[in-house]
Amino acid sequence: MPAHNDPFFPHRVDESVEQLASTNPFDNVTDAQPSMDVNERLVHDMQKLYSLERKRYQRALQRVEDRLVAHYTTSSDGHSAPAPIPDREARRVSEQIRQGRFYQMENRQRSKFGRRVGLLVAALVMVVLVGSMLLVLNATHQKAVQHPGTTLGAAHNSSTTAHFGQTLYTTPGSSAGFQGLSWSPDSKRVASLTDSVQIWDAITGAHRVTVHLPTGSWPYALAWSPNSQLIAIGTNNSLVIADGQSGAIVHSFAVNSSASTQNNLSASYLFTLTPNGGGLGVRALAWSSDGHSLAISISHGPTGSLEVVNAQTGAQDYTLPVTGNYVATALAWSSDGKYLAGNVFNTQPGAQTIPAGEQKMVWAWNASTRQVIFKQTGGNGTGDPLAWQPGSDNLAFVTGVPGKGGTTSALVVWNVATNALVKQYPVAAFGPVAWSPDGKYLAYGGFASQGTASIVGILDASSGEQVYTYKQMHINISALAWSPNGKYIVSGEGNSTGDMVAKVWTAE
Amino acid sequence: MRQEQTVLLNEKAYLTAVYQRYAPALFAYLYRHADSLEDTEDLLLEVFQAALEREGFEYLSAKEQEAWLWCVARNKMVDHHRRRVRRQGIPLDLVPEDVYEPDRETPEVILLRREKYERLHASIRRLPAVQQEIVHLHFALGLRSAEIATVLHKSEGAVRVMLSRALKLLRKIYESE
Repeated sequence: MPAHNDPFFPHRVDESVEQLASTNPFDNVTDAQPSMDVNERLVHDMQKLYSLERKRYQRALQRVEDRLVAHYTTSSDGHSAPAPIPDREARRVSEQIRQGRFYQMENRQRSKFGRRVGLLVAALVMVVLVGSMLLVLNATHQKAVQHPGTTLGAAHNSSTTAHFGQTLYTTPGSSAGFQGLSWSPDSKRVASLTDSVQIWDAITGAHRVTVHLPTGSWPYALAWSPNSQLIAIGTNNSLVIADGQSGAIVHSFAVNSSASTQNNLSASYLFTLTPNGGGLGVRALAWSSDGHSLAISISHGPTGSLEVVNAQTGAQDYTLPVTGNYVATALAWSSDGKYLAGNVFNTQPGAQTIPAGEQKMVWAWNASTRQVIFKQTGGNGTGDPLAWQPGSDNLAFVTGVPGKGGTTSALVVWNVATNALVKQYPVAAFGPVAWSPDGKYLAYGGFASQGTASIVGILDASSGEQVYTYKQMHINISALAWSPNGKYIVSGEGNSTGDMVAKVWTAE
Repeated sequence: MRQEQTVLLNEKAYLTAVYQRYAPALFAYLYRHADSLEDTEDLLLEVFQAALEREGFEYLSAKEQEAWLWCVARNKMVDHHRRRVRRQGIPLDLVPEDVYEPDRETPEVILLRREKYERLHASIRRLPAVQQEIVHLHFALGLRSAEIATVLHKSEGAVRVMLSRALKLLRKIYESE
């Protein structure tokens, strides 16, 4: 076989094997057929030969992942019970502590510290719980009397920051944590994305309904319709439109992640070769402000595509270009609907050709020219990673900037239309960002005390001054949203026992 | 503010994504040097636990995260061998490689009853040791050339060439049919 035609030529050997294996996923390798060419037969037989061993490794990797997640979810907070590590592991850990292994000592110190902070916060939570009813009633009363219809800025200037951070209620999440929290545009309901989608009354936390997704579907993304009637849910295999009050499914549009791809390889990636962060299905969506269309990011595994579809019929209106191995995991329209911004990440694990600055990026498209007009490093995918300043072309997100002793994080605001950096706030932010509805304040999830505490900081966008800091425990703020009426913030966080909860607190 | 933007990688999901991205290659490396699957699992868990304990791990770029994890994995492996030596009192050199070999081969034995795979298996055994290793990492652990290169301390180009050579050699059994 001439070298240039040989699929096993060195520079494309990986890709060829993936392609040849495509007709036969590793899970279910059939015998090679005589009709196959020699290359295909070889790859088939190799798959078959190694399939049992491969399954064994997959199970081992899965076991470690399960242990890691179990350990993480119980030990993220020092107050909780010890992680379910087998005895053997516990012995090893204690032995290492005896040997003075540095990181284990650090761990132990931290857990002591965590326990102290845990007790302190538990006490505070008790006080807050007892006092919250009175405080809320009091606050509501004062608002009604003193500041009828005041804006957030006015409230801050005129009086007090005491209205920040008073908890209205705490509502439990699942062990999966909150991947998204979203206020209905009328500020009456909150939708949460955990391993399911739940909707509850925004002010009391009551009247909780669960959207019953079809078996085998799990949610990746959600968005409210502008009239607060419907929520769109992106799942691994469909776009679901559900009633925002009852949670009943109104429409369901199947999304064929593999069939709609331009790249035939995408459905055929092998187990660990699959860019696991990519997943399949609808990874992000954003409802246009006129309510007619939905922008959806579809992941095909190694590649992604971006479609704007009719929200009524699910029919595709147009597509926006996503070049290279990128998938968008968050989308947002600018207030005037001119631009769509997305947090994209590169799906190729271990691809050394991708510079570090291009692994996670924020892109923006012009909806009328359908071109990418903005590309910057940033957005780490955790929390709500990007937010448009209401009424402007300014986009806020977290990025890394060169500093003393390496890259440090910063919150940046870029004007997407002019491609100019508007503001850079040197704060230890890690992900979720949210603008106040008047665009004057910017809330972000970040770190304090050398990373030992997780906070929500609220910045005055023009001066960069931190006007309020809402402190939390070790568990990072996983989602953040400012109510459209400007009064409250909902944050997904860990409580003192390490459970994930959503808290709604005052922010005016 | 607009509510459309949604979040996909919360903390746990982020952890899982990081794990899934780097674990296979780290697993391959640890398994290559550890004694058993059980030890490998424990070591891999320790590597990621160390990442969890490291403040600001999320801040690191993907490259830095990868480099950091590999550094921890190598240190863990050194620790592991030191511990093992202390516990058993047997110099590493005296531990015969093939003690652990049957463990790796067991699942294949079932298949090898069939002549076709026996022939393929025999051909794999005739490959140079490093090519055997590369084929094993590629097909049994699903690693790409770049990842194999990290595991074996070789350049990606060299791995591609050796994988290519190995497959071309193995193909000969089919061509001669």
